[in-house]
Amino acid sequence: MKTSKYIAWGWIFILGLGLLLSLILDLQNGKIPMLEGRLAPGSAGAVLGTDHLGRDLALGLLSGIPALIMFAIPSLVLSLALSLVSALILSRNIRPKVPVLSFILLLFLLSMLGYALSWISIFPLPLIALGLGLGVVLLWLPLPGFRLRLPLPDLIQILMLAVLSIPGLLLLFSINPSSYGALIALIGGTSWVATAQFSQRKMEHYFNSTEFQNAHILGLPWHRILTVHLLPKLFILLTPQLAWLVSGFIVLEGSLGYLGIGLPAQHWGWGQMLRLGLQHPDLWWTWLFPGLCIAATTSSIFVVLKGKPSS
Amino acid sequence: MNWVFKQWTFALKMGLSFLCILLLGFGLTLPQGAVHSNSKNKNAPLIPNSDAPAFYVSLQPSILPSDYAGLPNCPQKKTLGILIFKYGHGLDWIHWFKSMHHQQQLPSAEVFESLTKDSNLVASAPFLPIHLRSLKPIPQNWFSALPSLHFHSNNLFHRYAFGDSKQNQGLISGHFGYSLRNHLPVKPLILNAAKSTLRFAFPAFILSCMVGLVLGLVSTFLRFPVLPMFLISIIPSYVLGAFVFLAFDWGGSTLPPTVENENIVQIIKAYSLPILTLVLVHSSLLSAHIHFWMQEETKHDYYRTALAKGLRPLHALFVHALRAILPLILTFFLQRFPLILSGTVVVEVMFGVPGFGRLAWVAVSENDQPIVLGCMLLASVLAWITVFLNGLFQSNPRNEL
Repeated sequence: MKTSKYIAWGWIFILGLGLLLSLILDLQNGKIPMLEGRLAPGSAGAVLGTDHLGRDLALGLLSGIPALIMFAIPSLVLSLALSLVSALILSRNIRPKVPVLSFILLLFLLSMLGYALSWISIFPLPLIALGLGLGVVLLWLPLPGFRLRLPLPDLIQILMLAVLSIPGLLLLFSINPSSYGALIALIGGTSWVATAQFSQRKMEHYFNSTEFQNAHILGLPWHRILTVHLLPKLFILLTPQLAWLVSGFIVLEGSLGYLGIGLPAQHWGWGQMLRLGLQHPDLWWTWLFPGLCIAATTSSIFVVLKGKPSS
Repeated sequence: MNWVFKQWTFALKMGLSFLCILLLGFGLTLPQGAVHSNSKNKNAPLIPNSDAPAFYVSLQPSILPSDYAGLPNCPQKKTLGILIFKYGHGLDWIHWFKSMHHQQQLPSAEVFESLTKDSNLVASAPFLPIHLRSLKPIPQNWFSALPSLHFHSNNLFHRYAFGDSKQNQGLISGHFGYSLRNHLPVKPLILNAAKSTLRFAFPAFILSCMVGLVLGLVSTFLRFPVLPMFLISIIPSYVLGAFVFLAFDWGGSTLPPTVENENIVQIIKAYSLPILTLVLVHSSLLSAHIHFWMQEETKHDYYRTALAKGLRPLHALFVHALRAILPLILTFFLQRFPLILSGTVVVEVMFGVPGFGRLAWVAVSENDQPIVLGCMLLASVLAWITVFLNGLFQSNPRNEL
């Protein structure tokens, strides 16, 4: 176990060095110098050989690292943020009381903002219009003081069930997003459910504990309870979960690269290198090294995160 | 009564979530506005035969006719809005714009934009019809800029869902539309592809369940470390597939998987490598989980008591511990089941299996939206059914994963 951990940390260190090197050499998005001929590994000028077009394989692998990190980290942050917020809402059963009029006003302002920014006619508008319609209907109901309890936990549960039923990879390449932002939003938006369910269980456990009761009775403010007491504990418990999540993102990036769709046109990653390499199976180094890199990275991240004592 | 209410609430939530899936599927997978012939290149020519497809509500100045929102998104559209605002007669402008767009004869964005600056240019623009050239600027009222809300339903989404002719009766009648590429009905195409996928994915699923179960139990009994199994399970299928292909396809001894493989030897020769890849991926994950659960189970008091009473370890492990983790294993199977249809894309593309995932992949590459939608819907329905079954199964607290 210890040896595997050292190897995993070693590989992550190499990845970090590779990232620095690729930034220094400005190798992003597959800008790789071409060499003449198809060189085998160990040749002068190309340690890992060249691909079928004569591009240096080592530099190609290096140039895939920034894309991998650019892809994995924001997706992870978004996914974590979504899962923590929804877990908190579910575990505390937060149903904010909103005056119906201000609710409608908020939706109206949102739609006006959308109108001004001219993104209103696309996806968000049906939802806003639905909310507006709902608000107008609610206005006619004899609610006490025209106040509405937003059923956030129910909505989140419905959303979770919906997200669970959507096949992620199929959805991703069906939409075929053309920018990193859209891609990260989609991945973050479809991968938060398992973490949210796990966090919800842990948060419920914490909110029932005497530690929380005492802190609450002592009058500790909520933000302090969350940031000082709950989140650090939760993050330690979440590390094994993150192992699956991060490895999953790397596998997904490689899958989309391998399939050749669903990634921005300028994207260059190990999945693409593997696909190109497998078109020429006789040049064994062109598919072997990207394949090994993907396998080593997913395994290392898994070993490092899963190997925490809390796991 | 309470149980019935709970189940009813759960079914209601599932129904609503299914509605969400449909809306998400339609809203996200259908292209917005006209389709660019090359989705990566926004300067590529627009395919003229599509109006704004997803059902939508538009918010626009009240002077603009509701058809304006349905025009394809291109740089000239904004200029058209300004011209309508300035000269009125919105329907005439839109009719002209649509016909020019259909014939791919729209003036360039710069030329079109210059019309907004000088009314003399409109009068002399050669590409405008006479009745538009004769228009004079109208006095602008502040209320014509007020936003108005329009609901649009008679579009591709509407036609896809409810049909528009006897040949296309819509999704509501079980008709998935026609492929844009070869004009064949989508439903048989998808069902044939799904059949082809099930031909190898279902045996692979059964086999991986059996292999995973045996491996998990044996590794627990022999106290093997669990990490290698987790590590194999985390290696992506395209890497495993590549290794399997190059390790076992000696001199091209395997056949390409096609629908013509009829006898059993041909089928085994054709599908052995995809099956092997899927078995490796799924069974390693299952065996790792079983190993982990069994290890947890052996820490319980009942297990120690059984051993202390003189029960053989093999008996205690395979009869008592295995029975305790059986609900977890069943839940795991249920969670993985939808992947037999939607989780084989990479393997199908890699080994050239003419299956469901490959069909979706080709359809996305060729922008064949009806097939993409059909595939998404079928995969979502299967996943939704298994999530529903899983939810029912998990309503018993003992079965929670």
